[in-house]
Amino acid sequence: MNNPRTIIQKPIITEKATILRESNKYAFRVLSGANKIQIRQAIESIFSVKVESVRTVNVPSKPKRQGLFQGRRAGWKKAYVTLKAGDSIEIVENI
Amino acid sequence: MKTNVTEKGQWGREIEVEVEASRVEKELDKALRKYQRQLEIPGFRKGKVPLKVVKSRFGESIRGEVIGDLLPALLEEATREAGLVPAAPPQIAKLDHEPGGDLTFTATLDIWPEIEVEHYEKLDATRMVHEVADEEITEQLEELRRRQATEQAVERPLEKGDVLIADLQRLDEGGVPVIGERFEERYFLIGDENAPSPEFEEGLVGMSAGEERKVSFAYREDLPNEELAGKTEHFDVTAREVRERSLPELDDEFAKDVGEQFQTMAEVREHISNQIQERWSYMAEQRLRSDLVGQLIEKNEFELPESMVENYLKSMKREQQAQGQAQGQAQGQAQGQAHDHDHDHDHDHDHDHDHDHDSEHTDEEREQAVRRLKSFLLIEGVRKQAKVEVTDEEFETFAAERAEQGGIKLEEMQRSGRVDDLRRELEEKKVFDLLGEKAKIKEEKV
Repeated sequence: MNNPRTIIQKPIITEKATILRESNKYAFRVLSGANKIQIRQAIESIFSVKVESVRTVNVPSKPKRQGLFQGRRAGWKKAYVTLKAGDSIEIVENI
Repeated sequence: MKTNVTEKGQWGREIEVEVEASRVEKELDKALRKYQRQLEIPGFRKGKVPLKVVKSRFGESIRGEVIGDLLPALLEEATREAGLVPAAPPQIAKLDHEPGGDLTFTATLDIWPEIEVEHYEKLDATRMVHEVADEEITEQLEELRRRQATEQAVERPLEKGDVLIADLQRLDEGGVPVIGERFEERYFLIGDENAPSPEFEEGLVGMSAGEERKVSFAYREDLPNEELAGKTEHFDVTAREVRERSLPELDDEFAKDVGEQFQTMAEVREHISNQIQERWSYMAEQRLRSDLVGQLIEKNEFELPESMVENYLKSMKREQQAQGQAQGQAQGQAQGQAHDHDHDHDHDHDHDHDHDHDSEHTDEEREQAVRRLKSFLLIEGVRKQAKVEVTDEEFETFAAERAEQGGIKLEEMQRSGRVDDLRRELEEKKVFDLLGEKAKIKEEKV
């Protein structure tokens, strides 16, 4: 559970996330049970950067209907990670 | 852009081109922006994907496209900058490009040959001279007479030279009528040398109007339509009418019938004589030109660039195909309508003329292509060397003449875009005139 690569699931690439990157903020989908401290440690160890702050959002699950079948789309946790000035994450930049 | 040309043989050139990175990047940027506008990626509104994202995701494939689009223009610019005139589209041999770096490529091409024509004086040529003989005129007149023949229904048995109007019913071998194979009011001119079946006509001679006769006959063996040649057929023929053909007298009355512009027979004869003369002098001119060109080619040996010949052969082939198609259509239409003298059961046979278009060029075609290209280049060479120029005035007169011959207005012709062709034709004519003046021409009566 504490494996950094299990905590950080994937970067989020959207218009908003792209704009935020200008202020050195990166968005990730993270393990729902992870807290800010775990996320900070995971990011620092995977990308070798210094994290300034972490903010998280619990994206709620939503009811979805496919014809007859009523279901729910899973909720998930999103994290906005602000890096210390001067640091950047290449992999995300290049996607 | 930097270019470097190396000579390969007489006409072959290799051109190395180096294009600055900035130029490629600029084009790439343009293409990316264009692509960005219509791009839809989840997480972004349509057209709002940042350029950076577009570039990192699709940059490389778009780069390939951009270069592919850019190359023809670059090639053209490079050859122009290097002062080369290609004889055929250049071939790209090598292409090097790293993203963000300069673009370098090598192209091979053959240049347009500029020929020094050394021997263009004192060529041997033959001019055909023809005097129109009376027999030729008479022959033409007879043909006209046959065309103007009048037909009159008569109450007597059919003879050779008459016309028979008859209904036909096809019979099978046992003499039973074939349903759906009845042809009404067909027209037959009896005694025509080229009739598809002399036997058929033979069998009809002696019929009177209203008479019914069963005729069996075989088609001629040498009929162009192979399916019918030599085939035996049975028909039940009912004569409707026997008509006598009478040829008009060759008098002034006839002359007026031939054309409004004629009053007397003498005028018709003169007109025919002029026509024949014109045809001969046209042929003589063609012969003279081909003699002159032949001599030019013989006396001025040079090699043509290979790609030029290939290119020409290809365009020749394309032209032939286009023509073949147009002709095929026209033929199909004509066959659909023509039911004159022939029986009505020949099947469509256009397909016989289909050639195998993919086949390689034959030696014959190649020889012809080489000859045409050489003659074109040589004539162009002579024109430059002898400084044959066409003044605007000369051209104007020539064009006006042509327009009149073609029955169209001068302005119309100018608009149709054939003006350049015409100018070339006049130039060619002047070159030939010059060559003719300087040649040793012997006259030959034919």
